[in-house]
Amino acid sequence: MLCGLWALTLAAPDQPLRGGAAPQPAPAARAETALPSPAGLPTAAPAVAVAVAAAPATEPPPGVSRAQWAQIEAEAAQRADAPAELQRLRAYLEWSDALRRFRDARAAGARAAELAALARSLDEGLAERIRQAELSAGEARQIKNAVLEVTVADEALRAEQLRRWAAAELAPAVPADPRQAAFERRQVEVVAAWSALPPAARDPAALERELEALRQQSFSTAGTR
Amino acid sequence: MSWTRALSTFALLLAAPLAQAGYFQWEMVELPPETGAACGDGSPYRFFVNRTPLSADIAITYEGGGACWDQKACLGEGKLAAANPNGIPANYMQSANVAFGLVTPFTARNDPAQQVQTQSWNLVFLPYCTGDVHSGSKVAVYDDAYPATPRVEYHRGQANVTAAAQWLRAHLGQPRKMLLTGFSAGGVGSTVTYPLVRGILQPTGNATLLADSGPLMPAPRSGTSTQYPSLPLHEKIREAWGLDGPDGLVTRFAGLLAGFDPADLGTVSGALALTFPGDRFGFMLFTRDTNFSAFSYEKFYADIANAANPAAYRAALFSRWWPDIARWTANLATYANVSFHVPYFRNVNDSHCLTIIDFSGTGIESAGIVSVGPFVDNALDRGPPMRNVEPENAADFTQVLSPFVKLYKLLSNLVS
Repeated sequence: MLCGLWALTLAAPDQPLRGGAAPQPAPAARAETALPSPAGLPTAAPAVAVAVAAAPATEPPPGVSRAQWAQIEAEAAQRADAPAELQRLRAYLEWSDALRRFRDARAAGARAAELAALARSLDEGLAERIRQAELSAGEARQIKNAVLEVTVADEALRAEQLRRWAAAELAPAVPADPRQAAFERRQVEVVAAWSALPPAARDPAALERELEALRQQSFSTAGTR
Repeated sequence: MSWTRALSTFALLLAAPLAQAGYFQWEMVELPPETGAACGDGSPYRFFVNRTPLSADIAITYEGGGACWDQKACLGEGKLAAANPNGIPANYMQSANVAFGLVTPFTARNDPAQQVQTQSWNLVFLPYCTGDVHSGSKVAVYDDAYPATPRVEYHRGQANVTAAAQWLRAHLGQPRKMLLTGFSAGGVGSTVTYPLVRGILQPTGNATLLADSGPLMPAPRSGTSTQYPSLPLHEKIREAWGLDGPDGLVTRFAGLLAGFDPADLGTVSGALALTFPGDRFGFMLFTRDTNFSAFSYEKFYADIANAANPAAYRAALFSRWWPDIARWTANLATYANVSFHVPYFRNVNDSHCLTIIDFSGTGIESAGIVSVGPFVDNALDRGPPMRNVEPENAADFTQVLSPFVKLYKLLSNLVS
């Protein structure tokens, strides 16, 4: 049960997780002004790593303490797909850390070559992060746009590449829920019967009860996911 | 909602399958119809959760998207319509076709530009599909535009938010810090459902509201529409969305909020501040917002609806909006735990919403505030309340906005 770790942290808010060293979460971000246009990239060169940093499998991923990672591993062990899930989490956290470094490097005015290298490594992981539902479409589009800004100089070409990328990578809306059409057909019948009553006999509350019963009949098998 | 119904609803949510997605993944939750949750077209209400094992804090974002109290608007037709008339698809977060409303730093854990401290919290996104600013409790049959094909509209916003909060409590537990935020209709929704969600989640740490561009303007029923231009809107939605019904929000507020006057919906914000003195309430909007003001007045005032040209239209809107803002901020300033941030203009989305896309163009330069970001941090960190209204500032018309805002405008133009 994946909510278990949160329950653990709730048991002792603001305290280190049990069973190990104190957690070392990434520093809380402060709300800052969005980055300006990168036109004319500055050339100051803070030291930045240029690729997604893959920590050794024995080390926790970036931003996660040993104790936190141990708890995550223990929790994941209850899943049938534990190794794959831990691999996914590690990949996500490393990619997310690369995005943080990319953002920081841009804000600090890193060299164009370093930014481009970071951007390429982000780009390589983007499709998998989308596939894993770790990014919303809007979020992914912003990241792709940021990547293109440092890798493609021409604005028109950038826009075209973004359009083609979105068409290829972002999902179309799922087909309509098949339960909905049947529900709406029967709803039309219910409302028509109600409307055919003399105005004095039309009880909105009765109609609502009937429609509610129909809704529950139509959708009551719903669960999560 | 009766006690027995509340119990059975909670039992249903407890019995619902546990979260299947892993951490840092957007999980879709479809609420059982027995909870009363529904989209406007009667389809199941779906919301989205992105959990982290590294925080016990929770940030809940309410989506905006217009409002409706007539058939065309509820069908999504016309300029002043409601969003998502056909419900929320299961892949809403990942779909290219419906993602424009999702672009806010509050739901982006991996934002390439805009950092907000809540991005490391557990994130929840409440889509908007009921046309009732997440507040309604009524099923309406609208046939004013197409009598042969009536639209049944399930104004079930209150049930959606309540059931979502109960699901979160049942599956994620009691949070430490809690932020409710939302833009446009979501700004209103996060405000009016704050006491419900707070009561269900019972956060152990700081609780904060950041309501963007969804003000509840003062409008006492004892006054006139000349004195209080938002009065016709308030009267309309009270009836259309069942706010005064047995389970309606106005009825429920009587037992939940100290200082709430049922004869003035505009008293909700102050009543929240009085009822939860340890919480912080932050409100934002633009002085030149021509979207929320249009929803507030256009259908109620002929001189706006029939304005001869855009300049006359804006003049008629602002002749009501600006006095409303002045009354609203004067009232908010009387509460010790309330902040507000009112910049002048941003050249995107009709100056509507500060927290969509990113925070560029939301500063109040004369007060030395570069963007709404410091305001957000101040509210979350419990700094001295910030109360700033930007005077008329022509420089806002030509200010340089971020490339992400430009991208949003480009995409919006392509869609329209």
